[in-house]
Amino acid sequence: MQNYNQLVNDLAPKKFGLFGKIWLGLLIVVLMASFYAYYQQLKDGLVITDLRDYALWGIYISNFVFFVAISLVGSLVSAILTLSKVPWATPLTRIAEIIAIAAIVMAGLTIIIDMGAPQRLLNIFIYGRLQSPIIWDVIVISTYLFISLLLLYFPLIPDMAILQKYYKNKSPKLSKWYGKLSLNWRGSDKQKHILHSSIRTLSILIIPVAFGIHTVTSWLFATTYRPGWDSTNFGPYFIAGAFVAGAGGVATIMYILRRSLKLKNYITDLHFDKMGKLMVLLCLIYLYFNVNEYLIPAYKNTHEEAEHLKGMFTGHFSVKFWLVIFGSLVLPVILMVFKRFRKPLPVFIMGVIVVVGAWWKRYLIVTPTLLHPFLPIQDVPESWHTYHPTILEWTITAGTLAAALLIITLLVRYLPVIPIHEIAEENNIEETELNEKA
Amino acid sequence: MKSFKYSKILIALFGMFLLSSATHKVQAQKKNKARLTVKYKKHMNGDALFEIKAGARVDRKNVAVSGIELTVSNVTDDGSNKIGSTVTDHMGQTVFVIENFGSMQKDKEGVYNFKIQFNGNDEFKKVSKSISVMDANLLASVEEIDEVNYLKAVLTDATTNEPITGESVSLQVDRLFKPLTIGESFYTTDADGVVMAPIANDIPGIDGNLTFMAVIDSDDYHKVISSIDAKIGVPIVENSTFDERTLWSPRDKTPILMLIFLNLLIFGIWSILIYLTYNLIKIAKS
Repeated sequence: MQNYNQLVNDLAPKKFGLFGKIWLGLLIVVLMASFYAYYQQLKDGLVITDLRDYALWGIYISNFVFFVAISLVGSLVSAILTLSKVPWATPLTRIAEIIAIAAIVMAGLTIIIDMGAPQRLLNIFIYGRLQSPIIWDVIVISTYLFISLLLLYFPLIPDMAILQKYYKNKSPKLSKWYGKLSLNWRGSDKQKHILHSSIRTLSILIIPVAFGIHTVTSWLFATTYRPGWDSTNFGPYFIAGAFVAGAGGVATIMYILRRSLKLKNYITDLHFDKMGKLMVLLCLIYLYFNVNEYLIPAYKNTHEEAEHLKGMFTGHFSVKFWLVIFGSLVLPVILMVFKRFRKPLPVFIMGVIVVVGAWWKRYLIVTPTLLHPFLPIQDVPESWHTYHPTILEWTITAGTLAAALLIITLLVRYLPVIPIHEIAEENNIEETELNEKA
Repeated sequence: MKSFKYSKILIALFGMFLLSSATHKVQAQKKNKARLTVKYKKHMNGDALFEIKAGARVDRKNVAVSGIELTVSNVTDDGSNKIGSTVTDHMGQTVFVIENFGSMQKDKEGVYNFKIQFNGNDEFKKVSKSISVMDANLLASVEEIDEVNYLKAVLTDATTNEPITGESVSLQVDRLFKPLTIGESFYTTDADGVVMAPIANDIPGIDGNLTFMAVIDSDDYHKVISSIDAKIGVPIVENSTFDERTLWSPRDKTPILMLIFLNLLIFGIWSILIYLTYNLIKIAKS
């Protein structure tokens, strides 16, 4: 590995290039469009969507479940792989934490969007019951967000001190901010001890909370007696799916960052190879749970379950269903078993496919079930039996996705995406005075 | 010659126009035929009444005729006396209660004749329906014989006070949605106009109260219902969890164990998080 000067120079945050500025502009345009659509929703209510008595949860809730799923990556990489002392995980921890924070922030906001009038949030505190999974979800999401913020910040403290020095002359204003955020880090034994014990505690704590957030989110469905959701297996099914989505998210973002920030020496082919293998394993586990979720109801074949499954297998949702199952779960497994498909570009493509598939998978969990209830709703217009999201609904949803990407983009702009201090420690690179010319 | 031909065509066209206007007017005036369905019902413990339903076949569809006024008359050998009127609701239905049934006039054969008439309006033609009723009295009672409770009903002719024999009577006990039949579907009155059936001793009721009914539904007497309350049921023990702490109760009735466990979990995790946040201050100060 190179010397300390080069390391810091490589990993310090950089200003956006042309591509970065275009990307930022694109995200802002999408966000502006979604603000307009959301204004329409605030003005006229949820009537601007196609949400009705049947499909009372639509793409907003699918999107919420997707964000919750993606956020699990924080615990997967930062906690599980780090605690397991997986040596190649270090460069990916911060990327995973950044994705987790962006996803969990947007998950919370998406729920508020789904409420229609945002002031309804107060009803949770006024009328909420501790017996309700909705309250558990609110509590566990807030807790997970706080843990994720701490887990992002603690390992950043030594890096902030490094960046304070690095930007001292280059950008005094930025240096001042990094200095404040470095909390007078000098690398003393006491500081190191507090830092490491805190990170270790957080890494352990985030695992049950992360499992909690996904299990509780699954219980929002499983505790509602409906075809397709009436399962005791929903907790692990959601966790397995979240791991797939999160791993796909990391594979996608790490490729983009590697290319745009020129990090080939830090995010190597080995990382893509390992992430490829990890995705194969996670997809297989998730496929196993999918077989459970579809085979057993199909075997029992009660009238309502049969209607629901018919819609999935051969009916209205069949194209999406088989594309998700074969395109985003079976295909990645078949391809990434071979080494040639675990190279950066194929893993990136697989990552994108897995993430897109993960979004549609949540749509398939939420919508078809709502359209086939055990007890049909009487005297409703025929159009309420189907669900076709409106343009405004899609625009708002696109806005939340753009907002998540914007959070990631801004964090990448101002934070080192690869932990400088940890990489230096792992590679025994001695911290020296930074060379201005480096 | 040519001008003659044109004038003929013009006259023919004008004639066709007039004819079509007239046809249109006739079509506009065409009225639909309403149908009346009338059922007589006598509650021994209440009123005698008519359940009336007005419907029509419009554009090959059965529709309810709502908001029409119906006149009810008592038809006698000498003519008819109007006893009141009623208006159909949005379902085309109405109930007309015969006030003071005793003042109604019978014909020579002791039969009460009634006529329900609709005088027509812009949409529907005039229509009427007649119904003849023989008045019967039905008396239900609960009797205990050899420690077994029996539901007994006696059917007599209201005019002659003679027992009515060979008439079918259904014995029932009132339930929330639909009466429950006691014994056979129906019993036939004997020479004394009596029917009787044993009552099961395990019928639940609020505080043990049960409402029994004897019902006849015949062509001559129409529907006659007699009911009687008796405290011979099994008292219902209310199994309500309203005041208990359950998973489905309001927020102030959260189960204690859940309250303790979840709060311990929340405070436990957040205590660690607050401690870790304090660690940030310790790092800054050390």
